[in-house]
Amino acid sequence: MSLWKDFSKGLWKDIAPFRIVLGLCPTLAVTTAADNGLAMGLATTFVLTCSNILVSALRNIIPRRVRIASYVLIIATFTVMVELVMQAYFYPLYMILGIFIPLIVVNCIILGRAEAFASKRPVLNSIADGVGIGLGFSMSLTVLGAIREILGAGTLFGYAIFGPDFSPMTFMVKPPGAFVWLGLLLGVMNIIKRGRV
Amino acid sequence: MHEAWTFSDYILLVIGAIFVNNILLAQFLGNCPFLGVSRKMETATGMAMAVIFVMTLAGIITWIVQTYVLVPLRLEYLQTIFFILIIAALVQLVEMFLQKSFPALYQALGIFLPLITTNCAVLGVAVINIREELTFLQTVVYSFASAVGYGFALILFTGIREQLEVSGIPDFMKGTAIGLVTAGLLSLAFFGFAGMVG
Amino acid sequence: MREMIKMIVVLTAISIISGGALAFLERTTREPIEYQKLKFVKGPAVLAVLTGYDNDPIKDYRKDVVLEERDGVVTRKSIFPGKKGGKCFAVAFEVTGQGYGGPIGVIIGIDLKTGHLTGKRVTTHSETPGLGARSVEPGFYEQFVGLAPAGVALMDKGGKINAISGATTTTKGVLEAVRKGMELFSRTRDKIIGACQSG
Repeated sequence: MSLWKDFSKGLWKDIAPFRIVLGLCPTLAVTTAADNGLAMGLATTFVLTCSNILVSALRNIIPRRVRIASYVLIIATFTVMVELVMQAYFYPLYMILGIFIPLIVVNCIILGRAEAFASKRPVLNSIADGVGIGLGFSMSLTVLGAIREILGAGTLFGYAIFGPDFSPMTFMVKPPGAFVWLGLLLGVMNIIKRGRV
Repeated sequence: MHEAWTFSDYILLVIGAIFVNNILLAQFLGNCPFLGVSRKMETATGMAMAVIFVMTLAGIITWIVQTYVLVPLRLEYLQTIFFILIIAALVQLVEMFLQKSFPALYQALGIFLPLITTNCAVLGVAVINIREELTFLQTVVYSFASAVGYGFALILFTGIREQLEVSGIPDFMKGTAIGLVTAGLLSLAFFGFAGMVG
Repeated sequence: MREMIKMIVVLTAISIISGGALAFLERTTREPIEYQKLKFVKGPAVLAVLTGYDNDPIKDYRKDVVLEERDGVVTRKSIFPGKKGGKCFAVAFEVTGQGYGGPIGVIIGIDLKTGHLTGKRVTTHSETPGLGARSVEPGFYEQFVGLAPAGVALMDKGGKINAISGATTTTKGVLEAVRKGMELFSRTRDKIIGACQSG
């Protein structure tokens, strides 16, 4: 039961980047289209889950004073793995996500989960936490990407959804659109939260 | 990037990095501390100074390591690990150095320094220097100009946000939400600079 | 003291394991990464100049073949073969010329039997948008198809190429690159054919 709770909190109650306001850079930068957002989310989920597993498994071995250095080393290792695999098998995607693949290493969500959760809990719970938070993050990125893609390019996952007469609001896929929509979504989340309490 | 850069090319690089491709508002690097420290002008200025200091140093050191260590040893694929460790170590060293030698400056920057390790703008600029195949001098100029651009956007934004604190904003938009929308408008304003550099 | 030793041991152990794992992964992904880079960066140009063959020129390519040595300068080229039924008919390789804004990279395709161009595409350039940058447009590159070495020159110099208006330097840079490539081919024809067949 507690495993399910550790998993599901990431999907709504603690969903990143809305409830846990971290990891904003990739959120803003790669959500020009729904599939880019999804890909970035999944790459982050992989690194997050793997680092959670290792941090949790080693939690009684790593001395407190070097724990942050160890976590960074672990996270960086998995980030490089994602970089290599993506270059080898998904090169076009690697070119689109570009600099934000190596920057997974400084995504505060991952270090935050290592410090706040995985370093204190058993491995299974840490896996549930990593997958849950990761999928929640992927969902957010996909939704934000979808909104911007629909308004800014008139497509969703690359398929045209409006008639040929639709003139796209290009500004949505440019940087200002990212900031404005993330802010508005955050406002909507606040309304929903308050309505429930 | 090719050889024989004239002085005006460097000026363009600087203007481009500060206004047109502002690292915060156009390239989305370093947004977490951006929203975190922009509530008060004092903290924003401190953060801006610390970023300028560390980003310039980090850009230079990572460039040297990449060119004279990683490339000759064919270890380019470990770039991410090396860079983040260099930045973390650099921040520690700077902290210790300031504490001993410039206590006043340390007082001002102290609490912001540890935050910088996870500021992705620092790692971001270091990686961009390498990806764009900048020369050493270009790296120095670009790292510094990007950092100045970061500080500039941060301080501008903080000014606006201090005003927002006393304005009548619907409850659900208070805090980060309105902050992001404001950043969007600021980013839109910076778009106007795109015409400056043809 | 014990704490100190433990810290060092743990950090070293993590570094070693991480380094080992990554070195292994890097070795297994090195080939696919090289292939992907060629396919998505040079690939489109290579496929455009080698049409009508049934092999995958990017898979069959030969890296850094030594073609000649003159005055102590060794010329190496990566050769992309164009084959039909396992037999070599054409090759593509990259050459560079000097443009207005810096070096221009050009992929040229050459028919092995006739030594004529099968096509050319500009891959990298930093020319002025609207002028020199027009060297990537069909109106310019289609002129080159089927040309013999003598034809690769401007109209007024007895060749068959119309310059891009307003971008003489760029045109000259591209012509120089193509001509250098064709000369290299005629000098080292046997080596290139050998490389093509072994690919």
